[in-house]
Amino acid sequence: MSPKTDTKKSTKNTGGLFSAGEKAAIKARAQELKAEARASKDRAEGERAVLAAIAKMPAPYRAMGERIHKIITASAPSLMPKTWYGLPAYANDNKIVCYMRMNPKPPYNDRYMNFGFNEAAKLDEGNIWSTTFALVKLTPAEETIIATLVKKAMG
Amino acid sequence: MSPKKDAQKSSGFTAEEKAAMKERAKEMKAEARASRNREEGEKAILGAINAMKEPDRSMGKRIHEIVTAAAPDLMPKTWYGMPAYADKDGKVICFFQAAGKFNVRYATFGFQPDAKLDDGNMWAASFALIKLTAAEEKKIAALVKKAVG
Repeated sequence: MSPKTDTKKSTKNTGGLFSAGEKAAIKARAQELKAEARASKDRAEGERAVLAAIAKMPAPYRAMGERIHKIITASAPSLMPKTWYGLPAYANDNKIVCYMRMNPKPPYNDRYMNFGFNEAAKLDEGNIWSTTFALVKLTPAEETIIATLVKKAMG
Repeated sequence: MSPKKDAQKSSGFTAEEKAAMKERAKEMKAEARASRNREEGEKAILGAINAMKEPDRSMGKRIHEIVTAAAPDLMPKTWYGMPAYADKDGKVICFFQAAGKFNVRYATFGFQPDAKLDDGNMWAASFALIKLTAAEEKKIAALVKKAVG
């Protein structure tokens, strides 16, 4: 039963007499639906932007970026893909948790894929822990490490 | 026998002697410039560290001591306002980003692509730092030494 049909039926049958509690619930649900639609649109747009940014990476890092994208979205489905300074990035509550960068041009001069975590990542471990990683090749071993890091980052 | 003494004795230098003297003069100029650059870089770094708030400042000072001891050839310079250390080509090898730089809960000690930390398919290139104890200092020194390998 959707609130919409509910609303129509109820207004007809009851002469528009919702209780204050019913009205509040209907309003809340309408807001939820709008937010869900917006989030879904944001996700689709973010995903498109992220994949476009990955497509700009040189081979073989383009394929690596695509694979990392899949690992991240599978490990933490609630992370929202979006670009950050033009980089493929993934946010939680609008805060960037992790990102990728492979730009061989100055000033970056990257010779490997950078996979980095920002402050929102909960990787804390004692007095020192790794926050960015250099990647030259992805095998199942590195894929497992990345998946574990992303899951840990989400707490 | 120095080229100078030789010059006083004879009326002229050979072409080879002239070339050698020219080279040495160039070297001395470059050395003076490098030494001046080092002094300037060091001054800039210490200025940047002194402008930090605690505990960034103490950590920055200690990191500076560790890096210069572990890799004396690295040239101190600031990079985006951060204490950084470059190779002879001027390329930044590592840097210290204070927690207060972007208001995050940890400081970062990072390495750039010219650092030789390569280790298989994947290796850590930057580190979050909450506190420096003997263990972290040792780890940083080892990383810096490896980076200039």
